[in-house]
Amino acid sequence: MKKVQTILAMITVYALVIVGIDVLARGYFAIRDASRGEHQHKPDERALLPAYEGAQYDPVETWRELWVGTDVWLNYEPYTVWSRKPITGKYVNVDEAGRRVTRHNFVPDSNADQPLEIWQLGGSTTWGMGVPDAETVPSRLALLFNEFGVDTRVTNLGDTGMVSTQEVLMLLRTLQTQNPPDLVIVYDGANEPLGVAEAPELLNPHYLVNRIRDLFERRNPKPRQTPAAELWANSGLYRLGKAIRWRLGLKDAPPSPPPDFANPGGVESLATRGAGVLFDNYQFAEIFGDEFGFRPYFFFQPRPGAGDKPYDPSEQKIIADLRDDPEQNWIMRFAVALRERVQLRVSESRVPERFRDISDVFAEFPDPVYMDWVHLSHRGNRRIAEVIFETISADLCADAPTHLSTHLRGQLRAACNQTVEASEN
Amino acid sequence: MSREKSFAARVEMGLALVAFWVVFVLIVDVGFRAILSLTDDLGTSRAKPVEDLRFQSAPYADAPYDAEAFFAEMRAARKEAYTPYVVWRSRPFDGEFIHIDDEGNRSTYRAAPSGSGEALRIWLFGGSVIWGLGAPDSLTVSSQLARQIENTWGVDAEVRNLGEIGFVNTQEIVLLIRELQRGRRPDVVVFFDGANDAPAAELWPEVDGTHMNFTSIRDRFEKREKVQPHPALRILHRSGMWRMADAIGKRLGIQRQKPAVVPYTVPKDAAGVRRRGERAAEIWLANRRFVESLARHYGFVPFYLLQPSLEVGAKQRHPSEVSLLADEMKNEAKRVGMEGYAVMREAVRRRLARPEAEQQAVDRRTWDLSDVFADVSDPLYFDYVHVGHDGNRLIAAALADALQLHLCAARSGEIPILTPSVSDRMCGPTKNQPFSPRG
Repeated sequence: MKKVQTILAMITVYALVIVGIDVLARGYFAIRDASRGEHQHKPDERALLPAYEGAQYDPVETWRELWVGTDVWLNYEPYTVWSRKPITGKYVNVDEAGRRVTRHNFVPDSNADQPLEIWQLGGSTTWGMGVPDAETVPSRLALLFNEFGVDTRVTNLGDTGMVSTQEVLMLLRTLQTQNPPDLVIVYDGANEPLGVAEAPELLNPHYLVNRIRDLFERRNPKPRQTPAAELWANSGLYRLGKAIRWRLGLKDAPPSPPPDFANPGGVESLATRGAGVLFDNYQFAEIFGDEFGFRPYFFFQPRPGAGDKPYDPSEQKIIADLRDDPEQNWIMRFAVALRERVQLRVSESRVPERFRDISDVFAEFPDPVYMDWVHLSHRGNRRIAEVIFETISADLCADAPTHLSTHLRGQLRAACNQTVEASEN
Repeated sequence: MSREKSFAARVEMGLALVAFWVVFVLIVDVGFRAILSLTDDLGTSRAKPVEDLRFQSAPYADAPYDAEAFFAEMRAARKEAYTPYVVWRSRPFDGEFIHIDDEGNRSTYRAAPSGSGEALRIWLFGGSVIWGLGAPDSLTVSSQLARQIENTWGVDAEVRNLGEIGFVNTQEIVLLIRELQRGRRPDVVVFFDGANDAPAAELWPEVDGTHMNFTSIRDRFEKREKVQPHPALRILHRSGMWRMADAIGKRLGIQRQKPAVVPYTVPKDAAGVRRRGERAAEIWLANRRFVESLARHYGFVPFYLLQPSLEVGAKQRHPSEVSLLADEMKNEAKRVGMEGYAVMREAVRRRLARPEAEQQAVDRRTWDLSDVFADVSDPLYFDYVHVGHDGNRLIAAALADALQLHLCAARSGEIPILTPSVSDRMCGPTKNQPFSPRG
């Protein structure tokens, strides 16, 4: 009896010791987590790249704000799938409708004529990943048009990861509830491979299609932990064990290798299908333009490795890193194949009337502009906005839309005349 | 010394007692688990599936198929798969009565193709009524429409059932765009709507043109669904003692009341219902612009139909339908949805009642079929909106007549989609009647 009592007492003592260590470990990690404030996170390495040289803003702070906005999961939107949650910052602002704020817009007085309304559609490069509000392509376009002398308001309808089908549906959804614009600018192409890499069997799927399918169908990609396993994984002892393993240099087994990116040999045929859908979507935008009275413009965007440019060493490293990553390599090959098909269509005049391939826009631009697989710093965005502005303003000067107000037509005429006079002088 | 020894002994005794009780509790828990597994939780905890007795409703009294087996199969077939942009489609299914292909499309009757390549390609879009909830493949609106066109005019009709359970008009337009992206082309496109559009606007007014069940789908996407309780609490809930206490509580009629979560918001008053119903009509009417522009480019003729429901639309209600409606309208969501549909229909009717000079071509292809059963006293409905095979036949007949009248009236040049031989069969060599839809 005495022995049983001793054994039971020892069991309790050991249990109490374990609980005590766990409590201490939890306390230690709680203090350590609290001391590592949000601001002490490592800056996004992209902010330190030469693409940001000469920036009149703080790229590190811009990226930190971008991550605040990106770190939270997105809002659900019927049909277009997602939108941004509203955020307010020094450099990055998203309004209640989930739209990136455009700077340099003309703000009409109550009595004044309405400005030229432009909607710009696209992915994160339109949205303005990596730059402050004032340096997004839509903001730079607003500046250029207003400086040109035409009162202009640009709405940024771009959103992270959007592919061309999402853009068409974004256009449709916005037209359902708002007055149509005067012009629609579509600036895209680089995101087309993203969803295809995940689900090549689908037609122009959106980014993260498998993850969103799992959420919708309540599939859990990871087997659900038992409550006991979860309790263990949340314990101070577990974190202590992990910390000790890390200190001893014992790392966890590497994650399973990435998928085969479904049939690497199929890139060519997938790109052919992708180009077909891209131009179908341009067609839908043109059809809606005829119906709702706006003029659509399409710009096929550049990306590293799929567009001519004298690459800076930092950009060469980006391309080399992309080639080393199986998924990014597949995406880059798809992008190259897609561009070839676009160029073939251009050569055969099988593109919309107001389509322009600007993937070579940096062909004579040695300064670094890329910070990753597609995003541009302010320097790149300014160049993109200039090319878009030059194309559209020349078109408007040659053939102004008849539906524009007298006020806007007058402004446009004066601005165009001034340009002609300046070029003659 | 002896005091110290006595203290140590007491501590040891205390610690031993703690361990003893822990072991005791574990043994009791294991015992309860064993009892519960043997007695099926005392026969109280497992929810019994709700029995679907709709196969016994009046429209199935003389069904030429085993209605009970059909309804059982329909339950089995109702599984959704996430589909980009349109949000969901039915999963593939291969049963005795129901066949769904890999793209989620229900199978539709088609006679052997004529071989001349002159089939009239008709795409039907809509919600569960067009999908065929309550009818085998061969007796859906799509199949009966194909058969009517073939039997009446000898025209090979390739009808595609693009209806999907719960779909609203905006979702159908997205599906139309996806079909056009695949390179497929129709001659005629029919939208059959209302009974989902109005409820979606009434229950989820925060997003114009949203699909059904917006809140619950949003919550899945945004991971707002019920947060799992702490793992320690989950261990407690799984314990034999907790489950035993729960089972005994249920036996004694003592149940824990969980507040019901309603995944929608109903309007506060009649003015709210009216406002949301009017908005549903605005979106539905405005959506026609997208379809009209696509139709002009791709060369198809679109038609826009308002569907009947037991609450909205004239019918000489059978006694079984009267009691069915009273039962169905006890459900708040269904009641508000149908009140909204009445408002939506009224708004559409106002638009269609404008003088002919003010009407656009699209208005002449927008028909209110909600009264299609006005002269019918036989029971057709098995719930507040779904009809059996007889109801589908009447809808298909009205649709076939209306299509013929419109296409033939317009063949003089407005809508050059009919080949000469199809035109002669459908319209007769000289037939050219003014259009007036039945129903």
